[in-house]
Amino acid sequence: MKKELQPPRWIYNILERFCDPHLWEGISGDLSESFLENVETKGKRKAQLAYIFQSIGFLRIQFKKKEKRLSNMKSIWLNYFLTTLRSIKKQKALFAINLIGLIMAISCSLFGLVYILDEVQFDKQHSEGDRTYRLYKRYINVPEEVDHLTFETSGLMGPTMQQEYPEVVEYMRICPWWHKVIISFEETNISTDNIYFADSTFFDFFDYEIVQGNPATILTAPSSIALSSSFAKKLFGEEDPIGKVVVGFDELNYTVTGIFKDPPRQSSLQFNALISWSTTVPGVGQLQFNWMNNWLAQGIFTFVKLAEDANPDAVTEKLPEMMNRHFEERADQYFLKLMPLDKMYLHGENVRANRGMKTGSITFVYMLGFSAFLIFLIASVNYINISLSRATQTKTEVGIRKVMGSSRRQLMGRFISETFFSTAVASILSLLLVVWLLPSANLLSGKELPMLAFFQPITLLALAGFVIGISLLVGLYPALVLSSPPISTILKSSSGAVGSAGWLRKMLLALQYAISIFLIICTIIVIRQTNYLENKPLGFDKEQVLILDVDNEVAGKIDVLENTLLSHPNIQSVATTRSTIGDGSYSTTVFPEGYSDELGTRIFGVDQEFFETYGVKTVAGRTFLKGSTADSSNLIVNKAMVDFMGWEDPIGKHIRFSAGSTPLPIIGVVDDFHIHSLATDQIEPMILYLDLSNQWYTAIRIGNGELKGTMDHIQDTWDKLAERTPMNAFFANDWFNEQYNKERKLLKISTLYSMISIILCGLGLFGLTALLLQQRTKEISIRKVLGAPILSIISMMNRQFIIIILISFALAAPLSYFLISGWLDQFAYKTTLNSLPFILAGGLTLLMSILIVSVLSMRSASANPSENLNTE
Amino acid sequence: MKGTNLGELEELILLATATLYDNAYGIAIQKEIKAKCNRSISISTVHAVLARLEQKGFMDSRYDGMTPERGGRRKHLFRVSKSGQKVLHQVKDQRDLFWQGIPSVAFDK
Repeated sequence: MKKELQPPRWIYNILERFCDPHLWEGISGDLSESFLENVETKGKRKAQLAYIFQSIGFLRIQFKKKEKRLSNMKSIWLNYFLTTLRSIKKQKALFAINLIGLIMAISCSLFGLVYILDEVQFDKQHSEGDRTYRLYKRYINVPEEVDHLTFETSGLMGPTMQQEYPEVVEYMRICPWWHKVIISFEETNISTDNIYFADSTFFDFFDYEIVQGNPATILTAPSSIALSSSFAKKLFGEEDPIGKVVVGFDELNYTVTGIFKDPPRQSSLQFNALISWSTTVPGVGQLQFNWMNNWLAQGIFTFVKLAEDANPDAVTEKLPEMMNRHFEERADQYFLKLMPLDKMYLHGENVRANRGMKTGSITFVYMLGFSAFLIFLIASVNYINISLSRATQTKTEVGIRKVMGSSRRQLMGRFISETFFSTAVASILSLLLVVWLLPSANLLSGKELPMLAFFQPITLLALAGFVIGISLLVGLYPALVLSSPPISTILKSSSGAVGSAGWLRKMLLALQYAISIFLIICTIIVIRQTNYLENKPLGFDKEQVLILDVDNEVAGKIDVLENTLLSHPNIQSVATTRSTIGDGSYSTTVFPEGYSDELGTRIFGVDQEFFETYGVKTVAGRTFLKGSTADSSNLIVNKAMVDFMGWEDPIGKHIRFSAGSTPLPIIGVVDDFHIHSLATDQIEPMILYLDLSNQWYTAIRIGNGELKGTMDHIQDTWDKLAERTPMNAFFANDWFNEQYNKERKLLKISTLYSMISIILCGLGLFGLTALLLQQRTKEISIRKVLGAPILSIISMMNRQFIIIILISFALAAPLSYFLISGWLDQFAYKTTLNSLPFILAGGLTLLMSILIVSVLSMRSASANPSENLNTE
Repeated sequence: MKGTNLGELEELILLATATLYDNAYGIAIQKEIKAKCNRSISISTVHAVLARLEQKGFMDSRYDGMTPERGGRRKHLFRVSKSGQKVLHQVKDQRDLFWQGIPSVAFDK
């Protein structure tokens, strides 16, 4: 037969293996006869196709090989399965311990795995994302001890980079607005959480889907606005939004030029309205925001797209030179860098000023991954440990199987099938458990994981990998160890002589305890740090202070607002200021008396009532006189300022705001008070001045009377004064608590994981002790007969475990000290690290173990020795 | 009665086998049915029915007749067995009985 006339060989081979050899000759003959005929009538390709289909037709049970050997294997496997069921039935408690442990561990690791996978997938949806970079800078200011990373850039950095460096193909700037903006159409007013100013290249950079409008020109013309489809639906209902004029930012008119699909969940950029950048360019748009389009102001974000073959490091190296030419005054402070687009979500956590964006935390991802892995390790060790001890028990079975002619491979199969059964059951149950608990897990972690994320191929693959991996591991050991020595030794030897693997078991146990102690120590310290952040005195009375955002249409009616509010008996004091916690203050350099250089300070604008309303204490001098503007050129400083300057008597000292300006006198000193998160910001030297023209925030000190009525009064007052703007209010203590969400999330997860780890350790120890006691029943009975008191038996059982735990503690304590002090160091304010968490963790573990071992050994030690010795 | 009942396809294949007499194997039977009844039956189905009929004892089979287009393999040849003949007759008789019983007025010409 000529070669090109061969039917496809692979299907031939498959079929040959499959078919009954008696029928095979007839079948294959008919197939090739029909194939040859088809080649002649229909051509080679069609004939081959027909051959494949015909062959598949023969894959029926009727033609299947009837193998005698196979049926024997089947009964062997059936027997393994039966033995597995029997051994489960015999040791129900042990099986339950194993299963519960496995389920807990697999669920934890599975959740961790899916969480991490989800975090890593952020910002991957953009087709040219691999050559898109986000500009950020390291800001170093030596005299003021400033050294941090920030995403804030100037409006001219992007355009200049594109003009001067051929590697930079395109630039794109965005400026997420700091506050909510109300957008109105006819009678409907809706506030946006996230409104961005964006360059016309926005949709070239990112693959957000455009539903309506021309992608090339959406954000080109000044005063254009693009809305998300859900936002447009709320604003316009069923009407066609394109071309409609809305009232938006700064009470100006904007034309709707496009509708885009809401940004996907896994995107850092989260926006529901985009305003064209040209709107802000002086001389072009109506807003004339010079600060968004010059070198000096730092407040916008810049993205650049590099040429395909460009090296980002080479571009970064050229940037200092650009700074020198265009922005010399800051060239020694701002060091520009490029961050890959898909890194900004996780790796941007320590870069400041990332406003208006979703951020993740690479630290949290590492910690979660690490804890999940440790939990997983503990459970695996548990499983292996118990299986190993069991394997030595079943050696009679192994011996007999060998006598009956079982091969090493078959013996392995025996153990593998047992492990496979329980791990597979545990995996399936865990998957169900995790999916069932998903809503509460999402609540705990503050993430919206969809259920489908658990059924990704990679997740299922990991589960399958685990089942197969641990089955092989657990199956391998007894098969190798128990099948190598001569059968007679196995059958004859007393317990522990062959393959007891005592040292291995003890090492694994020590490892397990070390992990658990490590996790508990870390958790205790995370709890202490979070408590510390939440409860450290802030220098002002943060309870019962409600802060309203009044930098809107209410701005002209502050007097009415304040007076109406004060008419309520439960409102003690009201202050309207430019600055408040978290906002409205700024940093600048001043020239204090007796200091040769400029000093970086925080400038805080207040009114006369500020001190009473916030509860800031005066340390020396006085505060601004009420009902008078006499103090408008007097200053108040905080204690940190006095300490920094080393002033003995600060009252009457002068400060100049610029080299040539008039010196202003200090009339009072107030206690240091925090206006930023304690996690990130130290108290800075601060100057408070009387600012009655910028009225941005109204703070209300509420008394201890009925809160509900007071809140209703505030809301009513607001509604009478504001037509378009909904009230935006927050309590000072809520604001501070929100700053520690990241820490609280870590606290919840680490508490959960360390609790599970200790439970798993306890379960493992329980199982192991029970087995050990079983093996030593006779020894214990003989000891008793010879007169040993129960107490001595208990202490005998405890001794080895105590030694193991002490070793684990010695391993875990230094490691956790090292890691946790690194974690604590990133906080501006941190709790003291003392020995208490270590003692607590070690003591707790020790106590639990002694309890488990003692209870179990007491039970077997108090049994009647004659019954145990009778059995032989 | 059970066991002697013939399926329609079984009956066709039995008849085709009988027609082909000394050269009744898979492909030939498939072609014969295609030629006489214009029915396309897949080759695997033919084989499956043949195997079933042999199991029921209506067929005997042997290997013979090597040809080059079969790649040097022999044909799996079938022949209707005694009980096969009997069951075919039985079917035919039953049909005839019915045909004879149909009153001439029942089918308008």
